[in-house]
Amino acid sequence: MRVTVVVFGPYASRLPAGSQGGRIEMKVEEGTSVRELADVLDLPEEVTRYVRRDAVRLGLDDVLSDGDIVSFVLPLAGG
Amino acid sequence: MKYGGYTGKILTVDLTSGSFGEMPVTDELAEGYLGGRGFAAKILYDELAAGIDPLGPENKILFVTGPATGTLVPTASRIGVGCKSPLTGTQSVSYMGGHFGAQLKYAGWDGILVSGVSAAPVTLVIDDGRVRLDDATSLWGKDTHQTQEELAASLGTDFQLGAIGPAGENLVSYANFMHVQHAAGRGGIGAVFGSKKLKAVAVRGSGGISLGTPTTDYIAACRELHQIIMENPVRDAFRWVGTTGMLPHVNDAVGLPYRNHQDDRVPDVSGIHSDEIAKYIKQYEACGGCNVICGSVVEFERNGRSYRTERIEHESVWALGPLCGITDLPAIMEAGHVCDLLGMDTMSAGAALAWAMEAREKGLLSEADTDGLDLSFGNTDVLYDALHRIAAREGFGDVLARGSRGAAEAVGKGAELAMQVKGLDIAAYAPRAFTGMALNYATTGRGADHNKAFTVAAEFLGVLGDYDRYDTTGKPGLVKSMQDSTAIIDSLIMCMFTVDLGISVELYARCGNLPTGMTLTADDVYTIGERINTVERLFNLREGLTRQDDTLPPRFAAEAAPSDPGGHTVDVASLMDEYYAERGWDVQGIPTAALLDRLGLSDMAAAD
Repeated sequence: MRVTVVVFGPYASRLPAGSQGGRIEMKVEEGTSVRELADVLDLPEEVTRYVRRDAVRLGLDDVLSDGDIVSFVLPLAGG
Repeated sequence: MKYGGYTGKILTVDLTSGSFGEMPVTDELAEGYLGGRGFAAKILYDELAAGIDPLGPENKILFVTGPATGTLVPTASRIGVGCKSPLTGTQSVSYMGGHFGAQLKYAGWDGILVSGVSAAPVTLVIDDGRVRLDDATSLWGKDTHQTQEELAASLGTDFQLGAIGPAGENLVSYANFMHVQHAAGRGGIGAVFGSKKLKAVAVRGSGGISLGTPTTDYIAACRELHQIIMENPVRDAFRWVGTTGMLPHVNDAVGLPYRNHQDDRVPDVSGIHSDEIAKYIKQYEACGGCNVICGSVVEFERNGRSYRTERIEHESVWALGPLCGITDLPAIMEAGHVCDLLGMDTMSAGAALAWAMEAREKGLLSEADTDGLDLSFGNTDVLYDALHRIAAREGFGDVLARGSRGAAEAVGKGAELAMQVKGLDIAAYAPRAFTGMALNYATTGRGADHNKAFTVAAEFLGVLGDYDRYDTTGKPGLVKSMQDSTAIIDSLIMCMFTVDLGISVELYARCGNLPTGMTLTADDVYTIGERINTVERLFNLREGLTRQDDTLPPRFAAEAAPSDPGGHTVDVASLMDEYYAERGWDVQGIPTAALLDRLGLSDMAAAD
């Protein structure tokens, strides 16, 4: 199945080749969890604390579905 | 003064007589209140009688540093500037970065207390122990940049400078005090400067700071603290685009207020995405003592005008942008720059405009009422003119200069559309999307100040806790706890963002112990914070504020954001009894005798 991954600016460089502006559509196995996706992409722990699919927060053990757009939100404060 | 870090004295300035003196900083004040916001809470309570006119001669301006200011503790070059606020009638202390705070400490002063009124515009010049008032008549009327440029040319570039602009001179309720690009932003401190004819302050110091920790231990500890910050991945994010990185994520989570909080999501946020903002950056800038380097300089053009100015921050992008229905980045950046020049708070300026835009949309105001200003949501071309008219208090600008609440009072309608608490406008984190923030906005002494308990960290970012942002369970306790622990940051004084960079409450205690030689624990941090929040509450009670003022505009309990699939509303009134109980206040929100006794405040009577 295919999911789109979105990561914050400085982490865009960690995405595989073919990513654009911190986004990449990639193929993952059925049953892949958020945690497994983060591991594959070698994302640091900081950006796995808040993971979002639209307005809904995902837990690390939540399983992804085909067509999901998954955002890894960095714990930055806006002010 | 038995503790290190402090100079032990606050400079007193009487503008009426043109005389100077010293106010001692005692061991008791340091132990009970630490510095910064703590000192301000106590000193403003003691120095300001109940019921004074914030723009009258009895108000005072207090500059205040903390024991860490000017030391090697990371990010410790900030300063607080406080008063009784002309916007809210509460205590209001704003903090700004840069280099001013450290320089005042090196000049030998923990703070400055300014009273009285000058007959003519003046600049306060502090050169170590030599203090004078220079005539500033030729500077009056000039913007904050030109004022500081002229002062730098005449005094020399080794002075750190700050000034008000035309907005402060004309007593705009949300005028600010600018130190280069750093703003002592909210609550209208600039108007108090204007009312006193104090145009600018210049400080130069050549002294050092006595420390309460042996030098080698202190240097090693400070190096460790810097290392913690530098190794944190969030540091890269701040360095890249400052505070603006979160904006699209908050928007996608239906948490970014749009069109005066009528909705909490911008349909298309791509124009103001941090990727867009990053394109304009030319160089990076840091405050004193900080290696995060979150500031930057941008260059852009709009309508044939070229700008080179500070990169805009999250709250400012939002207030002059989505809050007004605008997502045109050059228009927003230009408006932010104009606010800096004129010397006024971007947030309350944007909120006043957004109030007017909704009032127009709902037919409460006509274009004739607004002197031909087309205050429609999304009108990118109205910002520049409207902001100038506000600063000059021309036509409808005179109404808007009172803030959203004051403007509604002046026209006699639209009060329910003023998105503020106690007069201070709500920030860029939607109350309906973050119920902890909603409760913080309603209860913080100064009004809807997002910095006093940034519960977003626990409700959305997974830092400092793992709460559901909509669920109100546990929020009263969370808000109380964060309000208390956050107070230390503005008391030391360090940068708020260190909380995202790995500095825990235990480490803040360490940052207090290093310069002073105190032995504060994390528990002490909470106690001092609790004392500070309580004294700020006593000030407000003495001014006549009640439980009725601990509330949000009715919109948030009555209507959900149309873009929120979950249809959430938030009713802070239903949380207030629990919050007061957590605080140790009675059902009216008055600190109990038992609480005052525990905090050593029994001599400070609550209002009757």
